[in-house]
Amino acid sequence: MPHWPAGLVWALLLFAGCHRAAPAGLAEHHTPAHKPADYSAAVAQLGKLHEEIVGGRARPADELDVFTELGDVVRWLPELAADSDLPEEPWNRIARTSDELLVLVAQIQAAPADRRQAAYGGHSARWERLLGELTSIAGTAS
Amino acid sequence: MEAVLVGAVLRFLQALLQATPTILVGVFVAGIFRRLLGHAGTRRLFGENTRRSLLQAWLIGMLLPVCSLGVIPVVRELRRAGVSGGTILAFALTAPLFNPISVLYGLTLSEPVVIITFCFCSLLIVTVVGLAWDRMFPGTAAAEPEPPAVAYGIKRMLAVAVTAAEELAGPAAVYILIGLAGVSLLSIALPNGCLQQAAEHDEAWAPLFMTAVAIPAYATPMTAMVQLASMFQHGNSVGAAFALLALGAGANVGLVVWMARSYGARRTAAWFGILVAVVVGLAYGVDKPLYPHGVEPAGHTHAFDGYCCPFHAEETRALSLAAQLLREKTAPHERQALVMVALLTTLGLVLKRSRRAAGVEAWLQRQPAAAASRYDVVLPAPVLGGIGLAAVVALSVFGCYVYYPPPEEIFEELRTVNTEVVASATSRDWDTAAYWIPVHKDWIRKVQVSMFLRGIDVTRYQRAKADLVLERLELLEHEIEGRRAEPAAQAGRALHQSYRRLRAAFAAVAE
Repeated sequence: MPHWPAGLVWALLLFAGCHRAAPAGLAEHHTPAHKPADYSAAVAQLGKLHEEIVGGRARPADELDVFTELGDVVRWLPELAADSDLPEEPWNRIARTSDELLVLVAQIQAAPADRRQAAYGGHSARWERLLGELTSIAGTAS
Repeated sequence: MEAVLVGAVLRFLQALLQATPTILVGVFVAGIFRRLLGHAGTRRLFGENTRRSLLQAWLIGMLLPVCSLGVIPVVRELRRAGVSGGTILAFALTAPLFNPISVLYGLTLSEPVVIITFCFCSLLIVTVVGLAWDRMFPGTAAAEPEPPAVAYGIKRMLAVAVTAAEELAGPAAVYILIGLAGVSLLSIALPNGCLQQAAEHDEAWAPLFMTAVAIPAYATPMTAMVQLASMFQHGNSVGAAFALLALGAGANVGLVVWMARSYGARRTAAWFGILVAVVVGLAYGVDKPLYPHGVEPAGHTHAFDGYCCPFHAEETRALSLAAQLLREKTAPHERQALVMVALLTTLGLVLKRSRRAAGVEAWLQRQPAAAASRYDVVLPAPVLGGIGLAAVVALSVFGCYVYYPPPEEIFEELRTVNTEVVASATSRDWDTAAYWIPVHKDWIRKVQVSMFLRGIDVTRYQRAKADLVLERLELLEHEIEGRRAEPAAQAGRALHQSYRRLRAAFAAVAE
């Protein structure tokens, strides 16, 4: 009789024994610290980020890049708005505005790091208009 | 160690139960090829080993509802019919990847373009691998003598059943068991939940690692699609998801062993090397471009828990838990298919061991003296074979409408399921919650497919509400796993609120 079946059984038992060393911890869901609690908070956060960028304040190197945070918050807008009793029509406006802002963010982020603030400044009026629209819907959502 | 071994047996049985419906389809399709189409008809169906053969094999594979185990009897029959090796391999790899039900489910992934790209990539794989095989190893097609014609009438139908029974009691069953053994070995090698961080989207090795796991793994097309959905929801590596689909659903150890026995180890190794290289190359190619926008990486996934040991090594109630899992999670159609497979296998074994097998065959071949009347037209067997295959495809399409019932019926189910989940989460009934959460997720996805099937548009607003409910269910599942009472109750209440909004968003179709 060949020896390989016995070898296979021993290998399996060895593997089976190895399970004890495995970590038994549960994987956690990761929620970014800068994610706003709801849609109104997201709009307020966008307003603050706008002021921060226009005001030219520089963040310390160990903090999250302001444009990355801006992009994330814009991207979360439809999801946060969906987590409210907002009807379909205003939600669609938010989704469209978010799409429009995401294009702007992509253009700004495509610029070299030291020119992003200037690139943002070039779109400042449009930002303010779109932000105003989001703020007006925020009143309905809350 | 007992828990690990019980886990391995449980994984074997779970895979067997999931596979039985498509194994049944596979043996009957093999029977139709052998008894009705015949070798010449089968070769004609697969393009007569010409340039169009690969495309035809891909198309037939997409339509037939078989998994990588159910495909084994079919490819054995194709080899007997003298279909070229490249075409057989193209069919063997495509058929288990997709079927109409799983492709429809795939539309709910993130963007429909994902599933369309995956289908295109599968066509690319089978074309490259099939062409490479036929070029490297020409002349692998070796037809056996044409099987003797069966008498018309009910005998033709019985002959298909007899072939199906013989397949289940013959070498095909051995290859299927080898394929299932791969699942058991994988669960012994992988401790409980050890793959939860194995497919992060920023992990460069994720597609390669998933390739290694997927080779011994076995998944039905639907299971693979559910796993893909979970990976997309968690923001995992798209490349790893593709590798899992192409190799986890597309191939298994049994199929590889069949190839080695049929074509030789050297050729099989060359084929497998090319296959893995193409899959890994495509996996890295689609990894970044198809990554879903707006998805927050969860840092883990439960998609591969089914490949690992189902229990922690310290679990003392493994046997009773395994019995409970089998009792509760086995679907009615799986039980019915298992009974059918058992009956056919018994028939096959009886025919094999009895001295009357030759007599049965002679009886099947004995032609009646004359037709009953001139209006009783005898249809040629290949026509019946074509009708039989078309019926399998039509049943598969009909199955889509049964599997995805009308939205109002789904919302009726969801009402009960949501109540069960929320009530069990708030009352610390962990087991009940853990049972109903996957059911809830499944119905949420099904409602979107159901609307698509019936020509109703799913708006972006509705999709956002559905995604939110899925997200809430995911968070609740974690609290349930951690047995955290207050966070679980909070997550349950949040889920209920999101569900209420979902219902309002779908009001036009929900009632």
